[in-house]
Amino acid sequence: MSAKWLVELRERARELVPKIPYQQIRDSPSVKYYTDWNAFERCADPNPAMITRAGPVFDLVEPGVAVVNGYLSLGKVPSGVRVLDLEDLGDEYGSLVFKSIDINESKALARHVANLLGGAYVEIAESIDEPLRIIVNTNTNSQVLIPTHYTIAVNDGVRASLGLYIVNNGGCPSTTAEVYLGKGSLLNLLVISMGDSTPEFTMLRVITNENSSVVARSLLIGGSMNHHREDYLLQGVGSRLNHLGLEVGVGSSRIDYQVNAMHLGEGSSSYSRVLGVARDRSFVIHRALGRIFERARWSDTNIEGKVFVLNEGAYAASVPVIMVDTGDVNGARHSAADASLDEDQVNYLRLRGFGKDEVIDLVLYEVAAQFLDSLPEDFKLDREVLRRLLMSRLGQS
Amino acid sequence: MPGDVRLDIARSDVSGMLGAAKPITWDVTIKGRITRDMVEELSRLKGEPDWMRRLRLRALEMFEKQPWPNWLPLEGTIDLESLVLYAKPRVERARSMDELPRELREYYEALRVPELEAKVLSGVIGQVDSEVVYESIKKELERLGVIAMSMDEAVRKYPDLVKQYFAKVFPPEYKFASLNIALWSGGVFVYVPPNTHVKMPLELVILISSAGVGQFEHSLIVVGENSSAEFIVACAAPVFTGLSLHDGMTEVYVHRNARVRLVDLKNWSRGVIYFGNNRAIIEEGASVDWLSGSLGGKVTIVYPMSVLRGVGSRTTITSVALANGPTWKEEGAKVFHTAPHTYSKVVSKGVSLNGGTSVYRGLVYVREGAKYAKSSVSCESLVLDEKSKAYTIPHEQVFEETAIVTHEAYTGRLSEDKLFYLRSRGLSEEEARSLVVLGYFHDVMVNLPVEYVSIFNRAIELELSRLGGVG
Repeated sequence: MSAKWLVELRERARELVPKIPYQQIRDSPSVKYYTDWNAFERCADPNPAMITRAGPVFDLVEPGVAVVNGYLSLGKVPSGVRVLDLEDLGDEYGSLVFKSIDINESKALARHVANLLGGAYVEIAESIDEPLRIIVNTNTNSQVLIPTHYTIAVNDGVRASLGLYIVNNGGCPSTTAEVYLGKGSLLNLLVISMGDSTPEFTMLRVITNENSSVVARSLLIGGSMNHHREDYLLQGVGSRLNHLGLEVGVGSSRIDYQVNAMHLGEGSSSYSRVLGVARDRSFVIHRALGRIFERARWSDTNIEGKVFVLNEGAYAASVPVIMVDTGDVNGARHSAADASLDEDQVNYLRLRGFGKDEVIDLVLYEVAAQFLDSLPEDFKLDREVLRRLLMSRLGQS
Repeated sequence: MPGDVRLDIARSDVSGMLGAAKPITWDVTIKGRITRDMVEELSRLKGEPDWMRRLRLRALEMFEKQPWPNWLPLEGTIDLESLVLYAKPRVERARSMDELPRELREYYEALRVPELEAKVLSGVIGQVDSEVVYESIKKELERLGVIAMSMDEAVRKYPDLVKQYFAKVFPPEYKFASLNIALWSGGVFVYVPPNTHVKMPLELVILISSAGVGQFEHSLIVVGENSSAEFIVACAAPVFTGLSLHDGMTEVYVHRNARVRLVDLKNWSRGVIYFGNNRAIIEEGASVDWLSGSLGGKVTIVYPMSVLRGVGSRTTITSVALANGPTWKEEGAKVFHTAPHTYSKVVSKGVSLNGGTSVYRGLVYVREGAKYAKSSVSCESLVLDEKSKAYTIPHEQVFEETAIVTHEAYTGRLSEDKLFYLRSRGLSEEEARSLVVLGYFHDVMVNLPVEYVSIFNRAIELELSRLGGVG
């Protein structure tokens, strides 16, 4: 029996579903959708009969919280961390869930909430030495939507590391997370999205407080239609974002990766860099927004992206947007490149006896190494797991 | 407070160049609901061949089917029925400035058209509201075999040539393009035969005389193989109360190894909503350089588009925009690389002040098979006060592995170092700011003929006049 707030929220979302589109296009006529929303239409609404476990559960890292096909179980939860099942949340905590995400925004969000299967409320009350890992694993033979939600609160002055693994082994994972940072807190955030032949939808929203910092690292691998959005709301005065993302398109995958750094607090600062590789017949999209609102005076944002198109038949798109609503700005900068391999680099390597495929592999490994080496030390175990995972995925293509 | 500049918008209006609107009498007007009857009536008034009438009607059907764009920065829609959609001034088409009525001559003199015509232009065609009122083409062009005349005259005299290109470069693919094709009036037709070099530019001067006017100018420029030409469109309007709409179209077809430069200078008053539908198709080895300067206006939306269709074709798109006061100034660029070894370069600069918003919105599309295509986009914006805004919204879509597409942009405020340097040499803070802004635009305007640089500078100075009294 779900809590009252959850029942009402689902009901409200259910009413919205037929009324709103997946995406509003307020753009010029020659710019179309980057996400193929029709793919999500092919994901059925969940019912228990359709959700049957199809294979082994992802177990390469030890979870603090594991959610398999919407069912929550607890593993090694560091002390100072409290985890509550969404279904068990009373109205007081329930009112904090989806507080920062507007379910009116899109059909994808409304469907997500209307069919919400589970999730957790996590409170990190004290600094933790080991990362807390949340593993969201969908694992079913049916193409069925599996929506889960996570609200994570990091208390004032706390230093913590959080890993969010979204592993698609069948089904259509639909994951939302909102992370609230307390004053002066520091969060190392690692987000992993491993795609499959079914679409997946992810929306992460991080809200900073005064003088809080987030060091975010995101790795997206494959996925037939992987819509992945990360919003960083730099609400607190003097808050900071340092972000590095890597998206790897292999096979016939399509990844629409969107990173938004929105400055609302004075003197806030953001840096986001996304590396991408498009291999085989994949389509890799990098969208980024650095926005400085009127009240975020004396802020700065720097958005960078580089996507390598590695072979014929692979595609890339970049949309790096900056929007500045005040003249009292320290600076807003972006740069983007969609490019083939550097000819000089390729020639240098080929003169030394490397074949074209080997050159591509070398570039891939170099890009992967840049990402892995940038992970905060707290994630040293994850680094090795991800290295093996990346190599095996790249080797398969 | 650094960057805090407050201007009296009404006093510093760039349309001060033309002053207050002078009354212009119209001979014929068309107003009301846009229907088949209206389009038929317009076609009849212009004495057009049947193919053009049918083309207009097809565009009207498209207009009726197409949705109202939801990306317009306007509250609600534009009330087209409130505008005079065709306004023919009571003026015989003049061949020399002396033949023009005094009020029009004064407008042209304020824009220094007679001086430019004598010194640097190969011809001038002047449009007021919906009709061409002035046409003066130098004999040299005729000798070279160049056709340069008003569009409506070309439809009658060279129907086969016009039909081959009209609405083919820019088909009725969205609502305002369809509206232009259905209701077009005015504009120029230029045909440069193969192996011909037109040394001096040809200019189209477009004026909107008053509020409540819908202007649908349509120009077509065809440049033959191995030829070169330069074409300038200068738009202006005097000060009036109320809104007018300019929904114009410039279609350019550039044959093999030809070179074309297109300069678009907009100097509207505050009441003008401007849509520029400008597109060039560029064949093998040919090049097109777009250069755009934009001042004034309520809303400006213009994305010059180059379709690089031929191997080795090139384009540059350079724009500067000054968004002063309650204005939305969207100067973008679109480039389609559809052939190998094509090259494009886009440079955009914007300055926002007094609550103005400058926007760069662009698209670079590289089709699969456009091997070794290269494109670079560079945008810079200055925001001069806390009420103003600058947005940069580029799209890069690359479907070719050997292509290289890069984009970089920066938005910031005036450099304190530069201001300090100028102030240490005796300039007041406001004068220093003005100079920095002028210098910022000079980087780009240096590509204009020198006579135009001085006119454009003058216009910028007027726009910034309250900033520091420069000029």
